[in-house]
Amino acid sequence: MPDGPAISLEGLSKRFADGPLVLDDISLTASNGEIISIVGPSGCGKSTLLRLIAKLIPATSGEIHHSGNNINPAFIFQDATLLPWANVLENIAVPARLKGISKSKRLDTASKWANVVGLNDVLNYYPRQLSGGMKMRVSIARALSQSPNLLLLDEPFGALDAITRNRLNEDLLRLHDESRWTAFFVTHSVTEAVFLSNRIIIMNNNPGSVAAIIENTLPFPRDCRTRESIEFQQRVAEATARLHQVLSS
Amino acid sequence: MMNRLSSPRIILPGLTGVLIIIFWYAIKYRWNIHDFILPSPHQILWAFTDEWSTLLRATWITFLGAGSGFLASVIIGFTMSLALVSSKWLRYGVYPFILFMQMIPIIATAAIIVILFDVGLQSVAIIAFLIGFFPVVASTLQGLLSVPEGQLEMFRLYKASPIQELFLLRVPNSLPFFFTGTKIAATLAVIGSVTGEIFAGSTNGSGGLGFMIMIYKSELKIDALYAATLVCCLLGFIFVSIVLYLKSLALRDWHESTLSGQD
Repeated sequence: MPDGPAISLEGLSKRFADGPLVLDDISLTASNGEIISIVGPSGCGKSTLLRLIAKLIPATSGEIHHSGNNINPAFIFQDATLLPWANVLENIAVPARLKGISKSKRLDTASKWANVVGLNDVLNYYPRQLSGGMKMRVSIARALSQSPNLLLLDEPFGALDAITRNRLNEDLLRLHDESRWTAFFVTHSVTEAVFLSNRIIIMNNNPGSVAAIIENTLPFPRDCRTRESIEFQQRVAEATARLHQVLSS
Repeated sequence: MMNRLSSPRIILPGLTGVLIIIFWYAIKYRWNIHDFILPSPHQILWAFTDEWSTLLRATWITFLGAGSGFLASVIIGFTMSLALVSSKWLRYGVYPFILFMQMIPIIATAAIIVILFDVGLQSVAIIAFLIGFFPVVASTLQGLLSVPEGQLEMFRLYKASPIQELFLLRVPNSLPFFFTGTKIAATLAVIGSVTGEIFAGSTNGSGGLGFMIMIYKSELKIDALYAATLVCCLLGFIFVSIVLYLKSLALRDWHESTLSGQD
């Protein structure tokens, strides 16, 4: 499978109606298959930035360029956004259903992806019967079932406990190894950002702008042992210090 | 299951019922109230057996009026909600009038409908329809409109058509609301058709419960009047039970309201 597209944002700004400027002149690039983390205070427009990249909302000014083939984006929201009346399999198959793919075919694909994210035992469960971590797995399977080349994650694991969160982080990197999508990952957790990404963007608010870009040279592959390493701890400490420095200035 | 009979859900309402009947006798005999004003529970029971065939026929007629009006209010109300959610202009233009219509007292509605459509079952059904229509539209519309933002965004991200958004997202989301409205409509349908029959139920001697209530009142058969009133309640109860059963069938897999111990 080819790598995800390189994406470059050039002078992206966003203003909702007559409201204040939410994003001001954001320029950054992601190379093929790179994972970019975005951290910053609440209300700095991180989510808005993701929605701009996904083309869910139009930018007020600025442009988004990408290399290679068409962009096929998938979004993983903070809330799992599952349909409560559909079971696990049907929820994973929602995008395929919207594309008009036949029932047997889409459920086939869905069960394959349920298997990939470790949900084979709960295929017929409804969302209310699932734990938070399982719901998020359904959401991940739903997004990846469309073979996206660009993944946008809006604080997907923010509401989960630390153990589940770590495991999902590891799973995400494993899946990335297989499909090499380009990703933008919004998070509040510096630890998560250091673990997942090639680069960490620190944003400022009022209006949202890029305050600093940290190159994260922590080597791949990263797994659960990575967290135990001194190097990892050091990177987290450095990134945290940088974040505090940027936000207090 | 045997222990279901001993559950508080069965015992407590039973106990309340017994208390009400004791209270009833107590009031009647303490103040020596005449049978023409407050008959005893057992007299009402005798009236049931005396008027059995009349009450059964009247119940059937009321059932027809309330049932057809109720079905119409559910079908037309749901269709109307789909139209209203699909077009903002239609919603702005029409919804205030639906609200306004609802403000007309049911007695006045009944009088007008009988003038327009003459006495008979058709008028009763129309009155039952009108009284049930609004709760169905109001609840369903709310359900169609209150889809969580995240789910809407997800549908837009995957390029859902407006038809898909309506039938795969908004309609399933509205079902719990729809059933709430339908439950209210079921109660009101019986009230509406009995009210209607008081005005319009007198065709060729085959009146519904409302009509019989008028007859019993004029004949001073007060115990039978109480009995007929009780049958109205029972009929409404049956309507609501049917709706609750359908609701539990439709929503049992996924909706919180069908979890045990919430109804």
